Amino acid sequence: MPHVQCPKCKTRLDLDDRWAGRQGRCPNCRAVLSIPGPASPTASPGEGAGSPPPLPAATQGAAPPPLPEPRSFASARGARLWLFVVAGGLACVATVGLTVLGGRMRADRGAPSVDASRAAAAASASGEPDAVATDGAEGSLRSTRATAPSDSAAPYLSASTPSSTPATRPEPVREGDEGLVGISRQYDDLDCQRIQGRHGVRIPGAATIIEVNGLRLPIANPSGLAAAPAPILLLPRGTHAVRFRPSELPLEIAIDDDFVAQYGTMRTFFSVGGSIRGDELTSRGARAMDVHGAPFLLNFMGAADATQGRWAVAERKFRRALVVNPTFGPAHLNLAECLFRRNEMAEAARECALAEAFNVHDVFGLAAAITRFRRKLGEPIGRPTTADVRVESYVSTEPISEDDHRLTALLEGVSKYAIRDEERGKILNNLAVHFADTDRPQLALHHFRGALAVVKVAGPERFELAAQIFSNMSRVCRRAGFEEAAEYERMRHLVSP
Amino acid sequence: MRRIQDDQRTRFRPPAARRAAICLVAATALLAGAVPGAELLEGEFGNVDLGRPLIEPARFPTIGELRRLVARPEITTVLMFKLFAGGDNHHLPVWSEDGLRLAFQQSDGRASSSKLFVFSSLDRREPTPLTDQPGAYDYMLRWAVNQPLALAFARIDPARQTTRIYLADDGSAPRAITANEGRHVFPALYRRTDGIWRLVYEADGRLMHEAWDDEGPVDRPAALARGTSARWSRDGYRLLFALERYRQGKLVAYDVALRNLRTEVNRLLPAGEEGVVRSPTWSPDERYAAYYVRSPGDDRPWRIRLCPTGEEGTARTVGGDVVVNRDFESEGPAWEPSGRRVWFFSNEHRQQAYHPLVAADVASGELLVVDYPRRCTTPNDLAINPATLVPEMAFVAHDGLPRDLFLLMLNHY
Repeated sequence: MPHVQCPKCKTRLDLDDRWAGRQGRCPNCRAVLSIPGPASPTASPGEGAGSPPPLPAATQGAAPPPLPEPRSFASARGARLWLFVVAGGLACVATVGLTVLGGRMRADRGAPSVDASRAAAAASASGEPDAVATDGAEGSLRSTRATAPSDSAAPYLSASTPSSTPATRPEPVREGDEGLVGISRQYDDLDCQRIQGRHGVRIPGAATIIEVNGLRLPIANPSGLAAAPAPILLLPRGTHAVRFRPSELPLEIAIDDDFVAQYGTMRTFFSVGGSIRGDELTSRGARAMDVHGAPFLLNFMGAADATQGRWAVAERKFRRALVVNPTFGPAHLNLAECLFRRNEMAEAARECALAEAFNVHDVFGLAAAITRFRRKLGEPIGRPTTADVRVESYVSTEPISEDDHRLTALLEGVSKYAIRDEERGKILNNLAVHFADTDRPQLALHHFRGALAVVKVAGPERFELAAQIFSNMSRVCRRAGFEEAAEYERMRHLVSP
Repeated sequence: MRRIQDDQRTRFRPPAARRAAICLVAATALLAGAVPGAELLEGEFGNVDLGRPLIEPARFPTIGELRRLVARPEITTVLMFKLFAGGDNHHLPVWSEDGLRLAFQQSDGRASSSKLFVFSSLDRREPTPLTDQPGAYDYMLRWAVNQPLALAFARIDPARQTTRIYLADDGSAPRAITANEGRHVFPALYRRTDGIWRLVYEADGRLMHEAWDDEGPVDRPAALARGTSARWSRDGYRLLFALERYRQGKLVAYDVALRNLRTEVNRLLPAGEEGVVRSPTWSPDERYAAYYVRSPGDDRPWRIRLCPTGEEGTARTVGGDVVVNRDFESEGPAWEPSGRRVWFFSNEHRQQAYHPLVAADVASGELLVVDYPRRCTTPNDLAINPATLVPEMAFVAHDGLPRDLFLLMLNHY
């Protein structure tokens, strides 16, 4: 059993043998520690994520809340050097230190954790329970069965965090630059957009078909997908021939790593499947001013709501994920589960068909879950049905009149000409106010987000404007009885210079 | 004495209730002065400033006012403003197919030059000059089909007396596509989903086709027919164009023709009338072609005719004595996005220098006359945003000596 004393706060720790030769964080002051002893033959996936894992709770006792990371790498390196003197292994520690430093820098840039991906992929390929493959897909809704509602019929609410990928908790990073301070940028919306872009191909507005490696996806209106901000078809690792028109040549699309592994790492990061880090998701939502360019975080947020039995809120999150990227299979299947619970069987079957259609070569690892869901619906297995994607149907289920369409087109049209983003944001806010005033909260929230999308790139006034818009959103939710009211209040306080 | 005065003052002081009422009226008048007639909803921002000189109304309308406008049954102006005035004359605004970009031409008669400008984003205060080459004469711009960031245009090289087609893609510097010989005009550009570009243009009376991708040409340049003013269909396999008609070796008229690039067959559309044809344009659903036509001879008025692109039906005239750009021939009649009507300015409806908008219903042929603020005179080159549900129209008109670019938004189609 290795013993180590934290060089920073002098806390003495008694650790299991499995920690020997590895690095960890002091549960008291979060300083990086190198634990003496022979190195473990297999590195933990968490190490690959660039940040040492917290030491086990069993040895921590009642650990105080984690403090922010050291502000500079120099101080962390200094701590490691001190440990090196104690351990007497300069070369070894320096090597480890450089590795960790490189990993941290990768993580700070939002680069994927290659080691974690490999480990997860290896776990999946080695015949372990298809932790990432099935989880990643259903993942969003996968949380412990114990926390699911007792009447849960959802098979996706059963998985726990895969043992092969222990949770790498988000580490607060003090960046000190623009935007929110003290929040990790790993897996924020920009990072998620990069991940999405790396793992897929954008469907052009001119698409009349979607064909991958000679297999035509059963989607009735591919060109309708272009109405979404990020119609990116996710593909598994490998080189694919993707064709968007029957008489044109296929494009060669190379995907370097498995999306399912990457998604699994993200799930682990946010503890999806366990006690979901809702605060981290909310803070990232606030950083993005509630405007997402990738569906992953919204899907996780929906999962968090679902595990707390807030199914109506979860459904709205899944719908929002699909407004962002209507090809995201997990959100389709999660939405299908919500609809199933509301006894909307036809719509649930349609969403299940879409989840299957976009699960190209099982990119999401959804195949087994789709089969289970089809059985639950009493639908035939293995006979994919052609489905129609209507992006606008995910925006709202509220009635909209011809005059509403005209007013929307007018204000969205004229807002394009506003020279200042602040003024454009005001116009779009006013459009949302129209829907709020006529008791259509879903449409109002959608258009408030449209205003935020503009305001977030505006000048110094953006924080004040965003706070006002969040205040409007919160008020709309309160009036409508939506539980998101508190969420928007929190975001209002989080967006500040 | 002093006390008496005080008493008098007291006697004439309004009672408290009346004072409050006066204050209220004064405050209301003050507010009304700031935003006359504005009744803001809870959470609505007032005093929105587009940052552009509004022609009508004087301030940005409130939600309440806009609600009333969109509910009106008749088509009416919601907002009109000047988009650009650069001191020179402007011509032929053209929308990109996604409706998010607008390009137009600026001519300088004194310098015999012409430049192209692009609003790559409509929130820009000023458009970006596509080129700034001294002495260049750029015109006949046309956005690509299936690639909203690319456009093609023709450039006259005054030194070599040639005209070439150039391509500008995604803000990059324009590059010449066709050879530097002869006169290459009327470009029509198409981008396939597999990255292959296809260009059709007129080369000295012949319709030419070229195709290339990032690695080079994928097809040898080929002559398709004798004709001009080609337009791609959405699928990229049909071309609508004006086909030259010869009699005893002389060009006597044009026909409207459709070429199928798969079968390589030209089919004449039932134009039903012999004359000079300009700028045939697909309807948004591609069921009709609209084009300008006039009888042979000088100073004959231009009309707009429609003919079905299918096998059946006949052509008919829907607008008489329409205003066309006599100097630059690159754009055709303006379709509304639903394909229900064709819009134009007509001398038949002019009131001195003011021309109202005229819309011809495709199904019934019925004409609709729509007024807009009369501050602008002698309008021309109407272009309708192809991607919006309500009318968003760009045109050029005089508001002073030069011809400026205006933007008009109506309440509905």
